[in-house]
Amino acid sequence: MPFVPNHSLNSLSVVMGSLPTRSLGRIRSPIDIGFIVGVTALVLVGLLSLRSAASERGEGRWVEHTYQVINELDHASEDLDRARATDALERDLVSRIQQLRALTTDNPSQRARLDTIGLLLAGHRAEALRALDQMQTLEEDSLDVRSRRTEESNRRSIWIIVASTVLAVAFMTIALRLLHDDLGRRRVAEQALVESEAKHRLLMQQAADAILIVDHEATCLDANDRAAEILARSRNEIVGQPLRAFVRSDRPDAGFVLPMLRYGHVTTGEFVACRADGSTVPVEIRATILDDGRVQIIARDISERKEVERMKDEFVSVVSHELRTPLTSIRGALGLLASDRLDATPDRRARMLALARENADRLIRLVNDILDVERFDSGAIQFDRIECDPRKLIEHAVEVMRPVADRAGVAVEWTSENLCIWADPDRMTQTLVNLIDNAVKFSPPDSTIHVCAHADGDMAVIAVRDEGRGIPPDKRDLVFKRFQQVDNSDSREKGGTGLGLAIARSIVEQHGGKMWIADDVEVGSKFCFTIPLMESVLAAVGSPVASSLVVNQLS
Amino acid sequence: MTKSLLLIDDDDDIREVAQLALEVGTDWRILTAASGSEGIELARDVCPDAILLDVMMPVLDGPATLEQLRGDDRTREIPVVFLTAKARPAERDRLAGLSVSGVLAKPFDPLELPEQLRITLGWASV
Repeated sequence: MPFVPNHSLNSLSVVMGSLPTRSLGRIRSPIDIGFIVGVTALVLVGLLSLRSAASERGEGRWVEHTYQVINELDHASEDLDRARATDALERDLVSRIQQLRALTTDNPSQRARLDTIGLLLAGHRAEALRALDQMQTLEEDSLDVRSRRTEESNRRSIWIIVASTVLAVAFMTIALRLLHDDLGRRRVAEQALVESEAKHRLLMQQAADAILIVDHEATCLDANDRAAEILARSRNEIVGQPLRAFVRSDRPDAGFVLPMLRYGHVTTGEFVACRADGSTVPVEIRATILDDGRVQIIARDISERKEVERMKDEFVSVVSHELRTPLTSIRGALGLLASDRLDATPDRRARMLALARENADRLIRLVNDILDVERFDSGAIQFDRIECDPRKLIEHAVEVMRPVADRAGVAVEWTSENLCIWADPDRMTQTLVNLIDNAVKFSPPDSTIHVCAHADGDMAVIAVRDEGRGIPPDKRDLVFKRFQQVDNSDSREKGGTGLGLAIARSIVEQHGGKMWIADDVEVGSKFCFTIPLMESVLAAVGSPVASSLVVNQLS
Repeated sequence: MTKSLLLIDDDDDIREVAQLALEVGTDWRILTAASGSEGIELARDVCPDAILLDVMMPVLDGPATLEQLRGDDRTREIPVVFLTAKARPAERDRLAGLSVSGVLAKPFDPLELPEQLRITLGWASV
């Protein structure tokens, strides 16, 4: 079942569910009003039309009836004239009078006149004839009145039908307009919903974190691509499976997210995602219960964070140990000096004083190096790069290291091409000092350290070579790591902090160069690094300027 | 009878300070070794009454040295006290969980170190 966000489902149900659930007892929209008014108008038009038609039919019948009366009166008048001649006609006249009585049952005054006419026929035919004429005149007047009434009825019916039709059409037009607008809004809403669904789906699929949708029994209903990537399974292998097949916790007190979710809490926690190949990935989970009871689980791969935390813990542990080591000697020596237990042995007192001073110096170097390496790695130190002559830098570094090399009985020689590099002179000197210091520590007495610089393409290559015990190939990367040495006792035996080479490489890398241990020497070790050359100086490269400085005259 | 204690620490200065502190504060015979392997050899030879063992040492660290000591009949019963610069309680708890008599911290007070060892090892005061 594809994942549909809860709010979208709600929106969908509102839109799609409104039509079938409409109640006739409740007017809920302008469409309802439009329909009701339109239907009412149509019914009204129909009723008024029926009433007008019925009225018109009644008026017509009265007109026809009046015509019939008038016609009979005409015949009666004619018969009366001719009745003077024959008795037969008189009988016909009486018969017509009888018919007229039947026709004028709706008009009592006319019937009274007919009764009078009947009496008059016996001896006063002339009066009877006048009476007939009077009746005819009255009927003709009645005909006029009824004809006008019929015409008025016709006109009224036409006006009612026209007005009602116009009204009905108007209301129906309004209703249709409202319906059209409402359907338009629904189409827009549905389109927006579809677009929202598509966007949500896209967001889910492109999310940097894994997203899983699970039901109330913690069965996976949906998963995005990142979830499949983290779990190393296809989406089909995830959907339908219980969440516990992929996620577990190593902490016995952690429980699982779903029990907490039943109380409606958003919960977070660190868990372990189990991949298809059996390996695990640490993940941070944020689980949210949705309105429909499903649970959205966002899982973030925190492998890198865990590794950084581990390295940080390790660094803190190592730094703590490294700081405590000279402090232990200082504390111990000063504690003994402060007591009276060494009063009888001046040589031991002197030795403890020297030991405390040496370890204080060692501590100072260590603190400085720790601060340096952190600042270099974080990029907090700005390099003041200028055009530098490597010969001056090497010469200066050798001078700085002269006392150390003297004490170790080691000579330092250097050569350099006429180069111009783009570098921070102080930091380059620090790099060279660190490398020469390292070489001195591992050089046997009466040996020589060689420093040389030459161009190689766009870079200057500077190498520091000693004649010491060398570095095994498998340890060559190790020596550049913090507090890592070929033999950990070197830091104490040689007085180093275990950070000098790490600092040197960091400086070189910040200059755009690289540092490595060359494997082209049979004896000792050879540290090389590159620094960008100034192009203008590259064009003026001359013959190598050889210079040798023996910094140690073996005594 | 004079007690003998073997001090194993790869740091020359600490070894020197600790040895001096124990020599001036007790009548024990103090033996020293600069590495785990050297300490194991010495322990097998002289069977000291106790061993004060540094934790972080190259090649053979404190726990590895302890394991070898416990695996040898000649050194299995020798009480061992760790001396460590590890500062975290969790690390010290882990060390205390090994088969040692106790864990002492660096830096140490040289005047109190002998008494701390006596208490840890259950030795009577001189």
